[in-house]
Amino acid sequence: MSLNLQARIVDLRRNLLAMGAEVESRVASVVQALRSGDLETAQRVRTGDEAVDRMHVEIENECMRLLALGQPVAGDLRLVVTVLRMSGEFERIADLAKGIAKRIIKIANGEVIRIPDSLLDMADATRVMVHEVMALLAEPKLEDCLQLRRDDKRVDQLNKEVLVWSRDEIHRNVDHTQAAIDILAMAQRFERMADICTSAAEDLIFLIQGRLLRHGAE
Amino acid sequence: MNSRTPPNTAPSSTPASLGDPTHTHPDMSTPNAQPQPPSGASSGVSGARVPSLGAAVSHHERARARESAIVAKEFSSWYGAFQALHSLSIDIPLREVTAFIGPSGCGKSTFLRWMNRMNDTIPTAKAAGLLTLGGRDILAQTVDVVELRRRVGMVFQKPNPFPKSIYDNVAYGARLHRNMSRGDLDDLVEQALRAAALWNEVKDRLRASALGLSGGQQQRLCIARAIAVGPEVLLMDEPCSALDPRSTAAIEELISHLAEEYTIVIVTHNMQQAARVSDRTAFFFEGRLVEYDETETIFTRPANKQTEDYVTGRFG
Repeated sequence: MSLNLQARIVDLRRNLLAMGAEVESRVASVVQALRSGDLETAQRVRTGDEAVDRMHVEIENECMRLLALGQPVAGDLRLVVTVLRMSGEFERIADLAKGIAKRIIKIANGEVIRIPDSLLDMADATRVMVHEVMALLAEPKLEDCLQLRRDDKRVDQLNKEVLVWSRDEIHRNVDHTQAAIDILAMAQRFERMADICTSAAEDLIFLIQGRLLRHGAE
Repeated sequence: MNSRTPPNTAPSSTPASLGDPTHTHPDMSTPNAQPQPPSGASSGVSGARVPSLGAAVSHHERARARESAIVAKEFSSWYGAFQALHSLSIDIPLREVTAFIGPSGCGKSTFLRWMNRMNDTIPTAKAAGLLTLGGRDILAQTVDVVELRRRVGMVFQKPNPFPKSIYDNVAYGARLHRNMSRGDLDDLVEQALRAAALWNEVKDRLRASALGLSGGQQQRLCIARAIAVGPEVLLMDEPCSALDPRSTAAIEELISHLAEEYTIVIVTHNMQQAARVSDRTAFFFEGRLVEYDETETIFTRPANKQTEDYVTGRFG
């Protein structure tokens, strides 16, 4: 059983990496669609997240099986728990990307409006964070995980800037109210994605050290 | 003493005590040592201290400021020229469950058996270094081993009730060493059987043979027999390895209750059992204490690579 457990844990990690790669690609696509107005890409992100959902369910089931049958401990236990948490987080990121894609399509079909730089910067910063999570999952490094937690602050700041922009834009042109709300909704989703990335960084710190650093704990 | 060289003399060659200028052991030394009983259920009753069962106390509540029950300092042991234990130091906390884990032959049972001098029966067994119970040297020549074994009871891998009635098994130690009235003896037997979570199952057949009980019941009877003599420490050498899962669960639950009153040291090959029942876990390998920490730490983030490899089943 133990040898089997070890082989299956290797597979489990590989499967999470595959899911992570798919999720990262979807985030990169939605950011590109936002920048370029490429509606075809946005549409693809909007409709095709079944693959991610399927991977999520498969990984979750395998974690349950390994916990029940393999009774992993120490590093094995930390890995299974981390994979269980991160697969849920990745699924959530893919969901948020889908929500952003919907808004991109909606905005393109409404009043013409220029996407504010603060939202584009936010999209880029979030994309980089998602990429960093995947890189750290492949090769966990404590210092980089701690840095990733801190990166969230920049996204929070940009989110505030988008909020101010939206409020001002509605004052400037009341016809842009719906578009401004959609832009704000996108910002909230990017902000949520960045939050999830910090959670994922904390999961990886737990994987490395066995310490739980939730809610800003140092 | 150089721990790498087998000592020339038996355990008595160790320093006699920790900080005790007279090197005497009033608690353990009695001039007229009694012959020892035929099993780990030691003889002699002092005060028949049997707990009532209360709510289980969580591991964290028990992990309070620790007092030590048994302390080893640079303790080594040999069988002839073979060194079985290498200069290990460990504090076994009072009224907690400490698990010893490690592959076969790693020295965990050897160490356990020094705690009540069961190794005295092996002519080639020798020890060096300090091993104390309540601050007093266990290995001193002056120690009355019968009294030591009353204070440090033992439960073995296979249940070993005497071929007597259930009642007589539990009353054995008390009868041997104390003049108790029939009523007091009845009370003692009931308390011990209740503490071992066996009373309800046997109260109507106390005069029946203990050999008619199931394996799990026999093991709980042996625990009742051990606690009837009022020990401070219970040593358990793989107490569930011969039991089915249901009996194992009953013994494990009992262990957590007993830890409210007694210090328990358990040797187990069942890693999940160590994780379930113990507060602290010591990992032994090739006669050395590799790692000793809170059980939660050992099973979630052990500090040592060998410990990690052992608990995750990569070797051993």
